[in-house]
Amino acid sequence: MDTSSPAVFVNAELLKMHVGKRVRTVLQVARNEGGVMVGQSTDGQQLTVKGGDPKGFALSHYVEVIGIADGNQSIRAEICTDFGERFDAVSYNGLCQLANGKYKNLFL
Amino acid sequence: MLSADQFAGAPLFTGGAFLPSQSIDSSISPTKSQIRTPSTLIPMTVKQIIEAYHSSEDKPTIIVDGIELANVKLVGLVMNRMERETEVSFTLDDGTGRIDFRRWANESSDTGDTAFIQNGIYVKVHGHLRGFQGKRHALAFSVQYAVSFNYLVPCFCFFGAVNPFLELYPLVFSILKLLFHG
Repeated sequence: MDTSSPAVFVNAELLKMHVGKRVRTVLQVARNEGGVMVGQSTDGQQLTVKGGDPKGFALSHYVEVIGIADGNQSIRAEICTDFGERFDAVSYNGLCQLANGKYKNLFL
Repeated sequence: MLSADQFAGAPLFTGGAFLPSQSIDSSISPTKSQIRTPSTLIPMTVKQIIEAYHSSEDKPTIIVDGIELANVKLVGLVMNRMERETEVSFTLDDGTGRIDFRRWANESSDTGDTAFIQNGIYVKVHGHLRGFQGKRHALAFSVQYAVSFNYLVPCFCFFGAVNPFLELYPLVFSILKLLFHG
């Protein structure tokens, strides 16, 4: 068992606090541009994901991205998981707030 | 045979146990009547388990919020899957850490139950904590494919918090909406 590489639950706003660290977030795909995925975060901001599946994910699908935050609005992806078209982004955004706030000790 | 998660708005925990309310004074050593049996199944994060192990003095059970536990429920990504003759082993990454699981596969029906466990998928695992020669791992007695990813959010919200309102998914959703949308 180890906790050496946790992935922090973030939305776009919280991503800025974890640049250089391993993070996880969910975004809704807006477009794919040659290996770069652009989408909307659960708090309504634009995020860019590099290094994901070169074929990209279907537009409007929710995709979980786990990787390294390499900028205020970009992630270098390690793992991408297609969550489909139906996903509760509001609850996920709330989870990000809790995981970085009141219940941070349970996650980090 | 694939064991699909039947969650579709139904109560998440049917037959599982909830944490006690905060009325229990954690400063008082729990009596035998207050300690739940180690068979209680509690959702947790890997981080919680590891931190509890550090203070468990090498016992097979851990104590979290005054409750002695041996069985846990986790959700995460499958990694490092390996199949042997009588078992399937894998690492579960829930974002807070990684824990090794073993799932015995003694009969052909067991083999069918583990075939779907592949690297990169999300699963819900019910397991029993074990330790041997200082190394910690867990035995998985139930592994279910996470059919709906909407399940993951409330599952993480339930982890270890001794707070009554977080035990009820509909109330969690309502409160989250109140907190973050006014």
